[in-house]
Amino acid sequence: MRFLSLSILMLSSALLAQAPPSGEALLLVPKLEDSETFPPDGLVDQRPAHWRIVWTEDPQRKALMLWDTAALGREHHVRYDVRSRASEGALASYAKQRTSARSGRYTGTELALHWHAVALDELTPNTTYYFVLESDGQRSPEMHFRTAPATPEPIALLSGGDARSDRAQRRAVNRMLAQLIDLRPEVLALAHGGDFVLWGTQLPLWDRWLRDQELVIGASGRVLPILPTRGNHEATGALYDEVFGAPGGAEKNYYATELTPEVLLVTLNTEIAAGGEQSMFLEQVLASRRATRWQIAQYHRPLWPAVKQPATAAPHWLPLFDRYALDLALENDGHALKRTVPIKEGARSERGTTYVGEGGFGVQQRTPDTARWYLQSPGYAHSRHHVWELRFGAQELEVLAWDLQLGKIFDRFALRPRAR
Amino acid sequence: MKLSRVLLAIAVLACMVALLRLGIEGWGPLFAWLWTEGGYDEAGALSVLRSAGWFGVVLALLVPFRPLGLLGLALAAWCGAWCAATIWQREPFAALAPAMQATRLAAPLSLGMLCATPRRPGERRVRAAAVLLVGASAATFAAHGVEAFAMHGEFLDFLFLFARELEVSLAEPTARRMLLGIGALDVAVALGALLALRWPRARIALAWMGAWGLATAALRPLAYGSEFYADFLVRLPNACAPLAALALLRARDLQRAEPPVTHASSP
Repeated sequence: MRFLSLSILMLSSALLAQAPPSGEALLLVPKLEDSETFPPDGLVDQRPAHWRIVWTEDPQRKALMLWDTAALGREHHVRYDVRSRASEGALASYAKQRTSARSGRYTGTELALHWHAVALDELTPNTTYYFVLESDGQRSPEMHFRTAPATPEPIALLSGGDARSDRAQRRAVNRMLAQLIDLRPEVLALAHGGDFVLWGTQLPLWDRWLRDQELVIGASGRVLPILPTRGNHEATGALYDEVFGAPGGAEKNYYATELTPEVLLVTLNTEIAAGGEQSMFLEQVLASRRATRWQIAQYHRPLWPAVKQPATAAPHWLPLFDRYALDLALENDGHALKRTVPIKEGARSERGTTYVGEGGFGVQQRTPDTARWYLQSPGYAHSRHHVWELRFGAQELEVLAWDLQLGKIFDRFALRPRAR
Repeated sequence: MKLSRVLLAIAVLACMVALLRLGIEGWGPLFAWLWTEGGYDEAGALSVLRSAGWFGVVLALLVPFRPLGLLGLALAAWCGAWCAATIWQREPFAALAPAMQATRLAAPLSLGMLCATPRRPGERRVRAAAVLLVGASAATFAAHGVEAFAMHGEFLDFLFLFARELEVSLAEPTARRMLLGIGALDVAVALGALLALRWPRARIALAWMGAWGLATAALRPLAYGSEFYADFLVRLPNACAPLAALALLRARDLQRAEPPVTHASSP
């Protein structure tokens, strides 16, 4: 009897320890759509659609504006200004215009779709830009985004990945991200951890992802630039580079982004050789920016997974993360919500890197292996759709896990700046 | 022939244990297929893979002792399901999966052929098993050669890790040239193995395949840790199949060298 009571006590303690912190639901959880209500595949005219802004290097001054049309067309422009011109109606009222630098037909014959890319540069840091995309006289609604600040200022970033399947759930997640845009004006961009689509070589799947991504827009028309990561489901094929303008160079797709002078985000590619030039790049970036207060990395396959085996990149990157005291690693691919204990040299260490993840933008969630040592308290792993919010301050980096099934904050912890 | 059977039994059992492990953990393409396309939820997919995985292990244990060729066919079908799921998953080089996994498919088939009814080397079924094993080994090596030519990132990473262990610096262009050489060697060895069916001196290619197959299979747990043991086991047929083929060809030679049995005839 005593044994039974003790067992029940231990079991209930364990369950309480794993229970999510209760809190007020801040986001409205949308009802899942019926597949019959999804928008039809493809585009029918020259109205700019599938818009996205891609940040790679120098987000203070540069942004790559991309959109799609049905036909190749002849004239494609971005008109932009630091003031909204929506009420004025005329395109001529925008102070600046940039003509399309590049256009092309997407690889693949399933759909007639064409992409257009315009590189904006010489932008002013920490400035809201209102823009309209124009193709052959047809235009998008006015939208806006904010450039990254060139001075140390608090900013926030959303992070998540694995949107490849379960479209109704993906669209629901996107609607919640849109709510977050309104709720958190300090959020500058979305770091996407990859697996956008089930098969990266199939254009109709990208068409659907791009269509669904249009839902990630605030009520005022604010959109978040994307910092994309190549995932294993788009490991091959030209479409990833066509959709995102070959971030970090075609097929390489690794790059470093200085979001502010105090925030460095390194995007890595787990689908190519992790050693060699990519490791040299990582080491060079981390070593040359030792003074940057916050250093984080994002990549697709997890080095400390909650579900699968560790990525084969682990022996190449972990020593560098340890040597340069990376603060936080954003992982994906596992389809679970997880946070590890701080890890250094393969063991728990308060001077180590925390790994969070790993993929909850709509894809079905897996049951994680919670017995793994690095997922013990304060670490954890659960099955729930989620997005990470990183709030970079002068004194701390606050990391929030949003539970997108309940619309509330699931976890909140803070990291302190570390000596490098 | 006994040596061939032992090698193949080891390969098949290793492969089945690996598939069981992958199935229990829900790793690999077959889980993804069941979950994404097969209409199973996570628990259902895991249950299917766990049951089938255990069934495969039991069959693999039975094959050497039960003269039923169908058991080999069933095991090959199980490996074939993984192969089909790999193609479905469309990760890099997925289209090469039937060739890359040819030894995994051929090992249970040839074991079934050799165990079905005890036969002397040289008989048609034994010869077919030898041809099957040689062909499968050649296909697997040629496919890996193509992967190397295409600069598979994981292969490059092995070279970088190896160089790090030796404490030598290896630039990526050099690693790429080395991988080209390895790919060329793989393809040459595959051709050599095919010649071995006719030309005994070319059998050295089969011996090389055995050694290289074992080394490259062992690379995974050595490089990434013991939890990658299933990655080693599932590749063991790459070493065992060519060695089993070599043993079968040797056995055939020995049989040919035996003096013909003469029967006393009445005057």
